Amino acid sequence: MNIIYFLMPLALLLGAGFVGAFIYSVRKGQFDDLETPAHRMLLDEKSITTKEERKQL
Amino acid sequence: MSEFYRLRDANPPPCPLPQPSIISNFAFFDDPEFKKKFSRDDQQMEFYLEGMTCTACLWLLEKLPELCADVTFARVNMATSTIFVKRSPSGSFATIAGRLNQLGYRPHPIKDEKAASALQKREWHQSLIRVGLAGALTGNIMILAVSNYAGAQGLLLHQFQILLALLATPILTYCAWPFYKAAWSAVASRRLNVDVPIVAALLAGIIMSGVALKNGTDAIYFDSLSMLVFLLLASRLFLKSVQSRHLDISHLENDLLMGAAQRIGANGKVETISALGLRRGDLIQIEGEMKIPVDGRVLNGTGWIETAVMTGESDALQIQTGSSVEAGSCNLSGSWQLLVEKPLQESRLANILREAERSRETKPRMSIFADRIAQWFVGTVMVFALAIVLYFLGSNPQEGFTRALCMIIVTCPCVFGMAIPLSMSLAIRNSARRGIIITNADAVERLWAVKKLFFDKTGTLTSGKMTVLNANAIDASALAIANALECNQSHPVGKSIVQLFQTIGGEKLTATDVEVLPNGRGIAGRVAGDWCTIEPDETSNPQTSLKEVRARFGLFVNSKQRAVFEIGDRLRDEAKDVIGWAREQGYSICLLSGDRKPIAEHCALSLGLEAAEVIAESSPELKSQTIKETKVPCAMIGDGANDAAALTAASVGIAVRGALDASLRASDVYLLRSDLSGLPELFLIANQANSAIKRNLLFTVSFNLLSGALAATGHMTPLWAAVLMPLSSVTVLISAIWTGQAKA
Repeated sequence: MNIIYFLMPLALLLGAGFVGAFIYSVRKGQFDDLETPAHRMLLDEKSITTKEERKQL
Repeated sequence: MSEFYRLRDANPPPCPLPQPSIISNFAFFDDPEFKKKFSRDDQQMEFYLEGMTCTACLWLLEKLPELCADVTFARVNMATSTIFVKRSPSGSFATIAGRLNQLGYRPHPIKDEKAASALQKREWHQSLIRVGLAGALTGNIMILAVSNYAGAQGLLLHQFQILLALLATPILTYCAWPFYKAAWSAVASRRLNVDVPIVAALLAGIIMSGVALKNGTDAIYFDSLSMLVFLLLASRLFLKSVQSRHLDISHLENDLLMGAAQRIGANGKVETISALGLRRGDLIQIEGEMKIPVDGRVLNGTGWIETAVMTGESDALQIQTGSSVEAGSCNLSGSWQLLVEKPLQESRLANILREAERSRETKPRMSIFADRIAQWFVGTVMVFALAIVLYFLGSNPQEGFTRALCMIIVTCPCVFGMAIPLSMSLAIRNSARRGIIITNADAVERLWAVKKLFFDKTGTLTSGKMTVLNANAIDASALAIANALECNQSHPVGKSIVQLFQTIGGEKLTATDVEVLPNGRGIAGRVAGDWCTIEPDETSNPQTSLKEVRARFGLFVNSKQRAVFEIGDRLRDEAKDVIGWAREQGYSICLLSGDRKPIAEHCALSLGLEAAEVIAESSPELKSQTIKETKVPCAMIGDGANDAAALTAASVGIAVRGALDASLRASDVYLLRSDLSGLPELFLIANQANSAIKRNLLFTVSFNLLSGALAATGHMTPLWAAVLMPLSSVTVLISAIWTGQAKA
């Protein structure tokens, strides 16, 4: 049974790590806009105009 | 741009193509006075964009630096329809705004309130961290607590209990802090709210568990308490996130209170400045179609203006030297100079809007029914718990405390703390999906109590624009001639004819020697060699019996009448259905109009209303007076600054026109779609949410009466209480979500 004295603090430490990561990401503003990133990830990094179109502009 | 169209078409309902607005002069965006108010550090500005709806818009807008050399960075937020831009050192905000407008997204600058937005952000972060921390700790506590229930004994049990207590400490202090704060402020102001019993249960639980931990008995409830805190926090965060999804209108400067002005300097030079910079005594040039930004007096020149903002009616008015003109009016034609008497912020329009906003802020909020029940309920439970403690104080204090705690835990009014906010936030979310924005949660409940509906006429039941009503009776060649004469005029009659021509189509003719007849009675010109005039026609018999006809204009070719145009304000297509729906639902209806009596009554009759249900010729002040004198709870459905006071006076104000109208600041609900069909949906959603709330209340009260009685008579252990309480909570939550989903 002594193993739990090692495993439990380890589990809790792991949990603390995730809580820390969560707090960090909240502070960095990753949860400020919950809608736009979902759309943004679908977009390719295409340039706005093709060469022909640029000529027209 | 092919990528834009590919993305747009890939989205199931292609969004309407953006439309540039008529106002294209954004030069005042570079005015120092303006920048001081709206830009951050003179480098960054945030805009609310009209017409941004889909992924294609996002793609296009974030490519702004490629399209406009003045922008170095652009970031879009789709939830609030805003874009944040940084300008290059030499960039101009006027160019950026002009480019955005050219793309079809009309920009509305957002006030830079650094302190307020930073505070809001910090609060949001803090509540997220509270929920996250509570969730993580509660999860661990639940896992560890299993060993205790599974029969851990002796030293191991005690160690587990200490561990649980340690893990629960941050939840019961840091995470639960909002409850302590709210309960304290309630107690300090001698009220009872939902937080009081929550805190009472928390404190009682903490003390009992602490004592048990010290004495080595097993009456330890850290796990139940943690779970309670986590669930309550999570449901409140959900409510908050649903409510704050849309841009808070108060960050936007009222569109009416903004604009450019052409100031005539001392040396006669004309410069474009922000209307904010105008001072009393300045002289401004008014030309073409534009908004008049100040109250003033016409110095010289004549023209036609429209005062729909103040009166709600879109008739054209003639002005000449000496006439006084109010801010918010719109110049239709003519070129004239205006002497500023009252700058924008002191104008009558600004006063009306300020008044509406202030009275909305100070509107006495009818206390939510659920809150009143909660107070009564909480008070009763507290009295009973105290009575039990006192009763056992002499004989068996331990037993008394246990029973009291049992009762407090089992009757914990989760329905007030979680289920009701959840029902309300689901209703808000569901209506937002349908383009109906509910600005505060208690409006959901007030909608339910509404017995009487007041409708504004112009712009609400009607389209608010002049149209040709007898379109079928006009032949195409006459229309083509009329179009040739009117195509460059901004008079409402001319516009309605041009509009008709554009929808029907026909041969495009050109007119020469076009001149406006004296006093602006009409217009004359030469089309294909013939001398043609359009002027009021008082002689001929009406072709239609419509009383909503405001004016009758005849087209004369070489003094011979060719056609008659009957001009008026058309009813919206869905208006009759909406009135029919309101009748069916048993609401009493009243048409509250600023228009002349015969017109208002005719409009009512054609909608299936009776003459007795019409109050015509009401000024903005009279409208709000009528509503204040109404005894039953009522809803006002209106638009425009002239209805602002009435919208605030009603128990629910519903603004119908678009997203950026003056009226919406005064309203509790606004319809993003520019039609009335959202109205029945709004009431349906509100009524469903309210019946779910009532059902949950009934369930909770009966459940708590039963379980409270069992606890008081000692038939329940705290463990059973801790099991039953979440069970009842889950029941009401499922019931709330189920109702919310059913209508989604």
